[in-house]
Amino acid sequence: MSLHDDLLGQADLLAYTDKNKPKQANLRRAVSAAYYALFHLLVDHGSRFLVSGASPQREALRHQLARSFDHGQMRKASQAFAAPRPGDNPWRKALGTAPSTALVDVASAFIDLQEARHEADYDLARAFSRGEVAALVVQAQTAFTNWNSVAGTPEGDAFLVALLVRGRT
Amino acid sequence: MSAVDEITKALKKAKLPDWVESTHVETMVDHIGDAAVRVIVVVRADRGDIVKDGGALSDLRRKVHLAIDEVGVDLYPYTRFTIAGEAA
Repeated sequence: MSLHDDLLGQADLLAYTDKNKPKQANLRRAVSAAYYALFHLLVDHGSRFLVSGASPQREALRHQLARSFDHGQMRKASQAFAAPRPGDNPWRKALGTAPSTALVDVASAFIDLQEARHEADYDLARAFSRGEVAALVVQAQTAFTNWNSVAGTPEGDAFLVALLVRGRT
Repeated sequence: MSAVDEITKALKKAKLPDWVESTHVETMVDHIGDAAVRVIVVVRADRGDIVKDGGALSDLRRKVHLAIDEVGVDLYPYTRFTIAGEAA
């Protein structure tokens, strides 16, 4: 199993681990795991798309590249692909067509989960309910499914490049 | 009319599914400092299992995005779901 699949499983496990009143610590970690599952899924696909090959040298290069993905840049790219209008993102403009519903959902999930992760890890005044967390975990699971239908397509490739490279307008 | 009022009005018109008990809209500043809105969707207690239905939740999120876009409010909607009567 990959790291992203394990994190997605962990998010689901933590959301339901307490039978009665759920502990905030478990719900918060579930939200965090859901976000990092999607983050690592996209980083994994982005790294493999940009650096292919199975030799040790290529693998080392790919691992180095994976460390270059930045949460802020990934969010900006997601905003550009989730927005109804193209804006000035060069990769979205280069697509020439509007992103599919599946890709818009992946991009929106990244934005939503990143915000939720920030609240879960830093906003102690915020209390999460199990229903809210269950919906966030399901959003990550749905994003995985949607990504499978987008991976390897021109729009999926454009999104992966945009996640790493700001580009010029 | 404030953005919250406009969005609230748009959501009332949007024909949300019958498992939605109510919606609540509030302004917020997200963690990168952008103004945004939080749309809290309260799910009917007897339909709580809907929070496990990714397709239904995605459809609802899209309706929220569309309703906000149609009234011309340029704020990202963070849509959250909670089940009626559920303690946080």
